Amino acid sequence: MSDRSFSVSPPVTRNTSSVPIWVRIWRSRVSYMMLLPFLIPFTIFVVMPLVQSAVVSLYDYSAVATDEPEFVGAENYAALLSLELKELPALFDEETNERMFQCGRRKLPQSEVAAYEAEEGELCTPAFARARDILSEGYTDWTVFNINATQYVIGARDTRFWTSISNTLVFVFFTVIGKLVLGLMVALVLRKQTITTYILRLIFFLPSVTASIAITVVWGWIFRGQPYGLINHLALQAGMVTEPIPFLNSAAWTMPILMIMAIWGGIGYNMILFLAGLQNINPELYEVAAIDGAGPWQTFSHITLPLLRPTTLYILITSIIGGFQVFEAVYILFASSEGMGGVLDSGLTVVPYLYDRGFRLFQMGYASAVAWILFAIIFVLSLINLRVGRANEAY
Amino acid sequence: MKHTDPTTQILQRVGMGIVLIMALTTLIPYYWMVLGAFKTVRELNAIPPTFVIHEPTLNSFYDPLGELPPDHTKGLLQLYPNTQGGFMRYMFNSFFVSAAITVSGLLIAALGAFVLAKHRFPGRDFFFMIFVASMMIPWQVTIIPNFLNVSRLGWIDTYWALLIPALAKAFALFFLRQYMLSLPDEMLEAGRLDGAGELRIFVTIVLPLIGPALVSMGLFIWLNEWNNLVWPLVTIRSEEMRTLPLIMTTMIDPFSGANKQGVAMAAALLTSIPTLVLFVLFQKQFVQGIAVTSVKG
Repeated sequence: MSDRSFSVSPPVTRNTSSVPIWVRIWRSRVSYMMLLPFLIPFTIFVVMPLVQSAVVSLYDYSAVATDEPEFVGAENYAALLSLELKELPALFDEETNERMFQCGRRKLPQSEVAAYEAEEGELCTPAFARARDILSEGYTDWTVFNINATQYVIGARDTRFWTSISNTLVFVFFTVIGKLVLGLMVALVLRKQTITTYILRLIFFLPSVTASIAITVVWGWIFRGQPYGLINHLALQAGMVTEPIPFLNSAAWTMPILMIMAIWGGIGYNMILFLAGLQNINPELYEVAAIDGAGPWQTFSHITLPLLRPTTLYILITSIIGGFQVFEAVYILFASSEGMGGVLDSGLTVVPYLYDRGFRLFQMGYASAVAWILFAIIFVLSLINLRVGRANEAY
Repeated sequence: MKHTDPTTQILQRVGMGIVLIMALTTLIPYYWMVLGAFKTVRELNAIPPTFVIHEPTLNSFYDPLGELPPDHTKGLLQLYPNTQGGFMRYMFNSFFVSAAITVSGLLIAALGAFVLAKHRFPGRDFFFMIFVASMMIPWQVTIIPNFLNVSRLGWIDTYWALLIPALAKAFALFFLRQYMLSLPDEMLEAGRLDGAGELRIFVTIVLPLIGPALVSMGLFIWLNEWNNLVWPLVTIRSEEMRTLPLIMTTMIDPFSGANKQGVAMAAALLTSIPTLVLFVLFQKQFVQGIAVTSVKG
């Protein structure tokens, strides 16, 4: 760049308010030129897709069908978010108007219940109308629950989406707390700088710097459903089970496995952040506390914990955001051609669901709508994070 | 000397005990990986599984006997006969893509960061605000349009698809800008008085001064790209363009027996070694990168 002959020196700004804007822009051309290599890919692959994504989410857009994308307005969002709560009416016999009971697979009127129970030795429960007869058209039952002997049903137009949301919330809740508590504990124990704590810190930090995909595969083999799988071997050996547990093919185990892996991988990262936070605490505070005769619990709850508040809040919010975006582990361990979420969608979280809609079913519009709902959630969390950050600066 | 009361001492002992157990747990997958990678097929099938290798072997990487005889299976390097170079090609793909994105991504981010930190021009704060705001956008929002755009450009199954959309890293620009703010203006002025152009000042004065920040950020980007699964998953179809994460997804087939465990562990080992080596070389920068990005962010 050969502009040294000019008086372009960009950073030196005198009072420029009297200079017309286009002159200032022309004088700053070197700055713009140097910004361009970043600005061009940024515009094409971040800004433009953001706008496109918002537009696509308003279309019925199949990437495989030959039809033109059809504008559907907010329909994708409506289909995703629609919920319906209805009371399930009790079931009565149409002729005798008797209360009906569910006995095994049969429905019996109240008068025959006692006989059935005595004969079969199993209890009958009050029968309720079928959810699909009650719910509005287009809705299917997502979950049924019972309050005060009244049966309620929640119907949704897209039950898989709500399954993915509830799975994600469970995942976020347990992993965030697990990583936070264990990370803090490890940081407190390894606070002093000795050779032992140094080595232990390195060990805990390993998962943060290992290719997580490779480690997920290792976990997959550790959780194998055959006796040669490590966990099954240990469980069999300890006599906790008699048959190997099919960890990867059992709906009940999907979430626990995902959570164990996430917590395992996240402790070290939180430990580093907590150690940095602990370093900022003035050691004199502890000396004063010791002189005042404060016990370990008092010191912890009155000095350490309050002063770690900024770190804790930061970890809390960033790990919630990260938890909402979980994908790789679900995909590697549980995805199949039938769906991304494992047995009965037991591991279906939001991002795998988005992937399922977008890249298995190629419903680009619908998947974009899922993405924007996720974005909205993350955006709110980020705003909270910003506010917390500001509050912390004042702290 | 400080004297600690007995409760504190007991607490410390118990805490240390728990932490030691946790540390062992942390190491289990690594141990299992190394163990599995060097076991023979017979040992992989052993019930109960062995915890010390009796006859270590490299057969999971390359088995000269191949598939035919019992107790043998093809090694990792023999697994992909349709791809020239086999597994090594996938290693190369991952290395090339991660390295190219890291180097060029850092370079353009540093250039932009320099301008935003040390120049004054109309719109500077606007650009900075946009870049910072963009850090809130999750990749899930842009992946679908980016996939559609990349398809229209005819980039599916090419390195272009893997490289170009990944170049603009707003968080790298933000991080480097914050770092550059602390550089003394006098040094840059001295360069200008010597008649150096801005690009020259950037290359000869700024880049050397921000070395540590570049290393921290570079490691961070490299690790993310090395691990990137989703983007290759949607843009790569052909066998020879696959990256290591795509290979790893095939290593957990629930229908394959214990025979395949050795190969899977060998692949996991080869996938994790490069980042672990970088970690050993640059521990400090890794940790600093995390601490600094988070506390300031």
